[in-house]
Amino acid sequence: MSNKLSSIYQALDSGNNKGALKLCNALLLKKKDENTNAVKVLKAITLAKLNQIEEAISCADEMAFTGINNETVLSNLNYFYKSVQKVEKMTKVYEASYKANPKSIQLAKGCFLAYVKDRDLKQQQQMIISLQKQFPSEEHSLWYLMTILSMIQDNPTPLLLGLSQKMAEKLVSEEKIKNSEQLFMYETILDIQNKKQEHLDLIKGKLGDLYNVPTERLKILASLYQELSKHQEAADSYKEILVKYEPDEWSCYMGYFDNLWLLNNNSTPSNFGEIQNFIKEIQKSSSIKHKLRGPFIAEIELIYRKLNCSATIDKEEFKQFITLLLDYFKQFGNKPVFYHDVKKYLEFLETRGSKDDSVKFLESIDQLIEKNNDDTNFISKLSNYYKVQRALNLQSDFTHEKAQEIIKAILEAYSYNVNKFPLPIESERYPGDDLVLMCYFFLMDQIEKNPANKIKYSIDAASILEFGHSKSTKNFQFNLYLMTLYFEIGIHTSALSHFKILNIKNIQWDTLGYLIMDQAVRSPLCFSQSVNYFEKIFKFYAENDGTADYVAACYTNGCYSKILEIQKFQDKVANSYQKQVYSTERQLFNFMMVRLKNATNNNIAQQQLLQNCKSHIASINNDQFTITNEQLSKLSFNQDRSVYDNFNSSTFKTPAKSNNNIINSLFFDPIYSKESDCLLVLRFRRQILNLLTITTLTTDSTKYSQLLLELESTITQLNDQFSSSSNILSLILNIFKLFNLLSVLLKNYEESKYDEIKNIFNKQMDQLKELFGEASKEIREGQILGKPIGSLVSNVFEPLTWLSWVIIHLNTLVPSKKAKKKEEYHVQIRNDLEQLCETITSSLVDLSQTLNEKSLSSVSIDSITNDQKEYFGLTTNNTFQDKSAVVKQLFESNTQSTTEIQQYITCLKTIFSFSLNNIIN
Amino acid sequence: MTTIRRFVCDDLFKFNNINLDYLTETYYLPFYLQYLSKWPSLLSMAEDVNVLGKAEGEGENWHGHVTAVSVAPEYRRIGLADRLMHILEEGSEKVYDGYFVDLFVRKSNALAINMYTKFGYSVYRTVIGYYSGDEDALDMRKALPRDVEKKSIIPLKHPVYPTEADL
Repeated sequence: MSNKLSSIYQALDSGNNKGALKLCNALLLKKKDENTNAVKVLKAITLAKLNQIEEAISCADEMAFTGINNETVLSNLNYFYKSVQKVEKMTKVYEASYKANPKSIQLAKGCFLAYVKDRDLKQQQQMIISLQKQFPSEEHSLWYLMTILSMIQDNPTPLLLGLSQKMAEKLVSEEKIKNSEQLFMYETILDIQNKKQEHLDLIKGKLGDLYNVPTERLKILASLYQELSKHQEAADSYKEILVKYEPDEWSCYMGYFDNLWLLNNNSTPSNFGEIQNFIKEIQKSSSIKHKLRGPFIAEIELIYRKLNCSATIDKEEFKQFITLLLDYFKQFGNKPVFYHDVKKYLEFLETRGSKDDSVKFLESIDQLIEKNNDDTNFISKLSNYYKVQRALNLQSDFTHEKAQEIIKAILEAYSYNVNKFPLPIESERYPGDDLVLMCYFFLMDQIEKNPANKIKYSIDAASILEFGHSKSTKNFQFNLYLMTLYFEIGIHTSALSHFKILNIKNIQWDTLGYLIMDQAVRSPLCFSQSVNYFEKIFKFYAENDGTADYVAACYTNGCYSKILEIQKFQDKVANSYQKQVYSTERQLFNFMMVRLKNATNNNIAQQQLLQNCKSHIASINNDQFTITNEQLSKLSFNQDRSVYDNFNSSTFKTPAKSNNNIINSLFFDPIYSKESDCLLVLRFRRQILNLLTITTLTTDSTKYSQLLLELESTITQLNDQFSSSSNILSLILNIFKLFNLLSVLLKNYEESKYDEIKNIFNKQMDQLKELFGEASKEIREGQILGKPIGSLVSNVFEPLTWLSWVIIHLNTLVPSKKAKKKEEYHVQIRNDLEQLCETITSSLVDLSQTLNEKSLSSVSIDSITNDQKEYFGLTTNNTFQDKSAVVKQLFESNTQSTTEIQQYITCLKTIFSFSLNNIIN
Repeated sequence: MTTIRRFVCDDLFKFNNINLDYLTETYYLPFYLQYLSKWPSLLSMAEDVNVLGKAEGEGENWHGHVTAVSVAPEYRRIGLADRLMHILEEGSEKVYDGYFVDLFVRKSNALAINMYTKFGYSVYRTVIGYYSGDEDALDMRKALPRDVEKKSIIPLKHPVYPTEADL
């Protein structure tokens, strides 16, 4: 590298972008030489760093397609286009480069891999044919086969299938298939054609040796035997793995049993005793020091299968089943994994046995636990006891007194244990942590039975979980449940703290973002965090643009088994439902923030506010507000619903979530939401965003009407699902209807149309009064602000912000009262708008007053009344937990929320005063 | 009941019970994809347990490297790490034909060091300030059959800095 280039790199590395730009410009002024292209691309990179994106792109474009034959320049160009989200241009770069340098194998390969990244199969095929012809090699033959295989995945025509098989056979005959990754292609071609026998022969033959790890080969063989209904051979293969290699591999036990049962038409095999003996033999060979779980669960599984085969339960066999479960507890009852291992069998006991059977079983478990808290295993066993009790649905009839009694006992045992047996390292969990979760479940059960005590029990539960968290600081289950609980009762700042501890990042935004985002965009205390979260979220989705690079890497590394897998994954992320929701909600959230935040700035002129909003609206891309049915059908729900530990029985019904309506469930919550409802809500929110973006002076009324019809149709469907939201849905529809009707009326006045408009004005007024009434009632009646906060944002702040946007535009459409050229109906409309704005501002004043009264009545924990003490459950306490700390947080959060909400109410008042002044003028 | 299989891309959607744990890092997407597109047989997954490895080095330094072994808290102390390590060692030996397997562990993590010692690993060298520049790492190794004379595991007498460690 020349000294001149290295000085540019140095400047860039040290962040001296302006210096780098100067150096680039100085070099480019000189005569063109071999470094010119290298400097130009560095200049483009520098300009991008200086945020001069357009100039940067045109600088790179100037040289990118002129036929580059320098690896560093190509690599820098790739980096540059990626950084400005124009990576697709690299295909053209390689095309031009290869065309200009047809003898370069590197450029030919680069061009092929560019098509791979683009998934342009046609070009990929043409390019690999050229590559193979011009630079024949084993690698290119394999790339050709993989290209055809990719085409088959897209469109499995007989021609392509025949071609691919011939190609694979040729590669085999030429001994070019040398490892299992290459063999994978041949196997897939056979599988697609359902040629299972040929596949089997292949693996049984010499090529099967390419699976160097014996268990991999045996597993493939077993699965092929099973598909070919050769169940004895399949069972033998699984048995071989268990005997020779993996005596603890559960999939092999299941495969072994499945095939033995299939051999007997799904009834218990006649050699049942022999199978049992075989399992016992494996048990015996398991070392005493490290006992394997697999063979012991396999014994339970065997008897479970036998029981499951008959309509009536044989008493003796059932007894044997119970005995085996108890034996398993004796051996592994001190491990947290015990519950996961036997969950399936507990479900059987609960659903097929009687309640008495379950009770007796639990009693037997109890007898197996030595009641000695000084024994290291005691707490783990006790924990498993309660998990079994819950899984068998034996906790559902607990009274509150009974629950409290157990909670007290559990916490005493837990507390003693954590003091007696300190953790070896802080990052570990205490074996009794699940007992603390159990207390939480008990209290949640009690809330279901007596919702009036929700706050009291929630505070109790929160204080218990906080106690557990203080002892076992790295147990993320405490953070998860505390976060949920705090959001539910309105301690938003504490909920956020627990969320932060979880340290969600990268792909977890896609799978776990639902944990937070509904709350974050609905709680004024979380608004600033929301902006931050959206930034991180989109950084992750942008990362997925680079996933195609790893498909190309699979070709160069010869890892053919991963190509289709990575592509499918790339699609799942690209078509993530969550991503689509984020992009819409981010814009709706930003729109609300732009309007509300700017309104608080006393110096801002109305024109400026309008301009800021317009710039925001103009920056919204089409793909953030439109979505076709085809796109909807492709959306992938990637959320992970398995993060919360629960030990519920199979008959446990998830409690209804309070406030579970569309307005409060934007992001898919896999526990509470139906996918079809979520898609409907996504469409609804996109339609709103779309209408907001086209609510401008140059509105095309035909398009607007069409969008309105679509919104109306979505709202009708939403009303069918969520009748409780009908008022707000109708209000939202009327906001946009009003704009449309007025725009049309102003072009062509008809009295009947005006009557319709008047009718909407009146309806809106009523709907607003009802909304404000509901909001005030919720605030007045509740001791806490938790639930009303979310409703206020979704039912009041958001729609009013949209309405204010519409009114601002109407202001510019309807001639002012002072205008010389005006009609009578213009004045009438202005009066109607005036009345609407007045209704809103006076309602906002009332709402603010209600909040003030409420916050005055809460005061602080130090001056709490006896009634409030009872309400928050402060009349009872125990030694382990401090409920008053939670109540204190609740009071603080209420006060903070009230302050924030008051600010936003002031913003709305300002915005509507703006509008009102304009209307009057 | 535990089934161990190769790690697949879709596991990235479901590994939160492991990755929410304090000591497990959730890497950015290209990190996982790089491993999957290069060493597919050195990444394994069981429910709530996973291991990520790679093959690297040149000549007699060609070896399998354990990048991360993660076991969800409730699945610990039942021998799962042992099984996963065995699979990685088997892949390093039979698929990649390496001379040894190595791993890095915090010098302060006595629990993990004991565990790896039980699995047959020994300390080869200390790498000074390997973890964010403030904690030393122990580079532990286990020779594979290809290293007949077990040269790869003869401990170095002096600690090294990350820049000298040929990582």
